[in-house]
Amino acid sequence: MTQLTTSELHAESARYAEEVDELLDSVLGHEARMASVERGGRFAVRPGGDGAAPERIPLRVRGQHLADLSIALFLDAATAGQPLALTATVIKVFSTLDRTPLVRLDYRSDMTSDPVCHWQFHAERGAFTHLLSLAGTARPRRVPSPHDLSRIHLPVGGERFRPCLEDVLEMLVRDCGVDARPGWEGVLASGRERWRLRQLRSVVRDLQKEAAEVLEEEGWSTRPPEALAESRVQAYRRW
Amino acid sequence: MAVRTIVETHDSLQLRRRKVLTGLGMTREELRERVRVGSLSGAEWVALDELTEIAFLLDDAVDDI
Repeated sequence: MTQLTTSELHAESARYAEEVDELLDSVLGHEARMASVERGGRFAVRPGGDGAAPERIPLRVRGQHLADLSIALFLDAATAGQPLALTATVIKVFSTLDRTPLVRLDYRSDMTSDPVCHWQFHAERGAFTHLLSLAGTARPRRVPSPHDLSRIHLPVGGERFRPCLEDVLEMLVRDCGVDARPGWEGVLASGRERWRLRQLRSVVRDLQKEAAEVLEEEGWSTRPPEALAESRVQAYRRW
Repeated sequence: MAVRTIVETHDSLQLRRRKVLTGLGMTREELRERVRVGSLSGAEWVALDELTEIAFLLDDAVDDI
């Protein structure tokens, strides 16, 4: 495989940032532009203005600023010179009342104990707290903070089948009533299709034997390469 | 309009980290403890976003800030 130069990696990250920039512009309108921040071949893609710090994107309902969206996408090459891979994503929705999160979606490919991709809800529910309080008494190490529902990690599909930014934006527009530009549904559907097809290609690369078996069941003829890539099944076992 | 590209160095990121922590009036260890316990303030969440980015770019240990 061809080794990518530093400038090619910069261009790749900038292309990624432009893709997200166009998506946000088409759905929410531009109130913050995406930036690509690099150090040593590692890239952070997130909204940024003139300063160095990340910015948040205002979310409005009939023009009233009620929440903020924080997006951070972290890209890294598995080995020097290889194409960038999205290794972590952090998407948060903050209330403007106290500037603390309402919901968070975290993905990290190297997550250790928590689900690789999960939602955390900053909410209260008496019956749930009741369950956790009793569980916390019985198993204090597993349930150390029964009063805090945001400590619950809701797993969503692992590395390959996780939600995309388009899903979060649609939830904000459709379920939370956030203002969106005309044509937002088509933009999100196209973006989601692009994302899921990318993920599908990754799945096929991970599990080539399984992919070939399915194609043969459908009438295709396949022939394995001389050096068959090792199945990357581990990613499909983790929660 | 093209997206903005920013190139950081080890030193510039360390400086950003110091500024963020100074703004909070905390050490890294104190903020780590606040994160562990939970119930962060709005200002701490803002700081956490920036410190997470800095930690990633510096290739610090997983889960660090």
